Amino acid sequence: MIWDLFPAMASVHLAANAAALGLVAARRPKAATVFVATAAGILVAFLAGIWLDMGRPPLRTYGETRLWYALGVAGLSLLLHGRTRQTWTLVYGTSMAALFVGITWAIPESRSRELMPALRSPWFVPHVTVYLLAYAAATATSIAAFLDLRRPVSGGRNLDALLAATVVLLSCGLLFGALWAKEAWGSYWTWDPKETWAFLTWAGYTGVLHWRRARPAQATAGAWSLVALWGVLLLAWFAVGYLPGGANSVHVYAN
Amino acid sequence: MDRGLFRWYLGRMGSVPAALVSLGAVALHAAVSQLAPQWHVFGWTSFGVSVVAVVLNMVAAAWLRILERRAEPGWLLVHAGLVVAISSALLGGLVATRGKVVVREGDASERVVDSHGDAIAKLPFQVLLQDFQLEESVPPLTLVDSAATEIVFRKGDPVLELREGAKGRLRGIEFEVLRYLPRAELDHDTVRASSDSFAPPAAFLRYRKPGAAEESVHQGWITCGGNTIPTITQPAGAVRLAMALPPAKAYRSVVTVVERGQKPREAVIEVNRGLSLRGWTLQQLDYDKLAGRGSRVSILEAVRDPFAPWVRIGIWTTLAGIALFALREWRRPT
Repeated sequence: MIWDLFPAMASVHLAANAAALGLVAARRPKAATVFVATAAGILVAFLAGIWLDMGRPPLRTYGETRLWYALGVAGLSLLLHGRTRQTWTLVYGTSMAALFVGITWAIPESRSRELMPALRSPWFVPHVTVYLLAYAAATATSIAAFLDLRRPVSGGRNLDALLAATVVLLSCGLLFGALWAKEAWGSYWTWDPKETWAFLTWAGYTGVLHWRRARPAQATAGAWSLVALWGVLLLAWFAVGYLPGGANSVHVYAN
Repeated sequence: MDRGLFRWYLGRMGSVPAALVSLGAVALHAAVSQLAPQWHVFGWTSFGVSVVAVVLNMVAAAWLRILERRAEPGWLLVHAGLVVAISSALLGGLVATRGKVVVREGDASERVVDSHGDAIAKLPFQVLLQDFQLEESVPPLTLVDSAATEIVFRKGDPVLELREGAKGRLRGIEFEVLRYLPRAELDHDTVRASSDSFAPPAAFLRYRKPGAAEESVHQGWITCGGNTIPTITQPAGAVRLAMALPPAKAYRSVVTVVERGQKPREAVIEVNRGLSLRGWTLQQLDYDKLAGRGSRVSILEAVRDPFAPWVRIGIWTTLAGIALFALREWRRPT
């Protein structure tokens, strides 16, 4: 099974990210992007391998989604660095990707080739991948907001662009999920715990987007909210099952 | 109404602070529902009022922007789509009928029942269940405590599916699946393939205990057991190798829809593939879990919601607006 190669893959991935981080520190961002891209390429190959090996999209368990998130942050950091030339984007890409691959290594999971009937839908891949890209964008938004609070750059325009991207992706994920839920369970929306927390995350980022556009002079409050919202996002992703209402969620396949 | 007053109303109702207050109120209800699920917050009047306020805010904001000729297409589509989707969902919540149709193989039903089994509606057609089909996945290997007869599977243990030729290692026990029978029966003391479609699967394993020499290799059948064969496990030290119950991979109902004055027609209802007819949507919901593959009962969810198509239109309109908004943002200089 390709999953057995995970420790080897993770080692090379972490080494590539460490090298990229070192090059950023040595003020050689161009060389660092090569290592970030290499680490991302290794993840792409590994994900493609387990997809073929298991015969299903590797998007079911927390461990699998963490790998897609690591790929998303790497891709996004390269895109952001290409557009803004700011080095924090590479630090974000390498550190978050390494952290989430490291967590996946540290927390072993059961591997199964099978998908439960509800997950056998054309909506499965777009819904989950859009959400993971949204999480990657939301992380970048929160980091950019934190940096903006300390030393505003480009008048907050980069932060606003990232926030818009986060809201776009979160909205698509939410709406794809609603269309899928209608096909699977007969209702677009049922306020299932996972849906509720997805809504809370979306409402938070959407609220701040509106606030910053309507009150640019009072953007600081919005920036602090963005830092705090990353906590809500992590709660929505990993901790819903531990909350009082979470035990009854139909999204238990992620455990 | 005075034009100036109306504009003033639109300006206040469609403002961003009003949007944030109304959206915040909905979010607050949602958060409370998670921390105190026993309160059934989504049935509260205040929750309904908050959702209506969100809709009114978007209508007012859109109206104002159209009057002031500053409505960008993406913005307008997003908000118009959300208004249509949320309003339709609210109206649907007031008039929709939702229940279950429980039907046995060979029987027909038109009764829609609630969770207590009481009839709440009648379908304008009958659903005759010809066949309930359930496909099972290959079951995984599991370990059972010999003394306590409990499953001792730990989170993080690999899920080793008992496919023919599969090799693996679980808690130091090496094993190989030499043969897999999707349906097995016991003939005297011999496990063999069965033609009974409800027979359970069985796997013939070769396994070696941790640290044991080559000559201590054991072989034997394991099965989760069923009507044609009892459960069989194999000893491996303090634990026994066992077969977990095969999980459902897919299940569907092959039905004949019978309508007065119409020719009967066959349809298949399965998860993610419902049947829409005469304003009703039937979804595959459940089956007799105790009987598993032998279930002769299918439980369908029946929904009649005249506003559901409008929710779909609203969602797709919003997605189109999001695409335009994203394009505009991408072109914005950073």
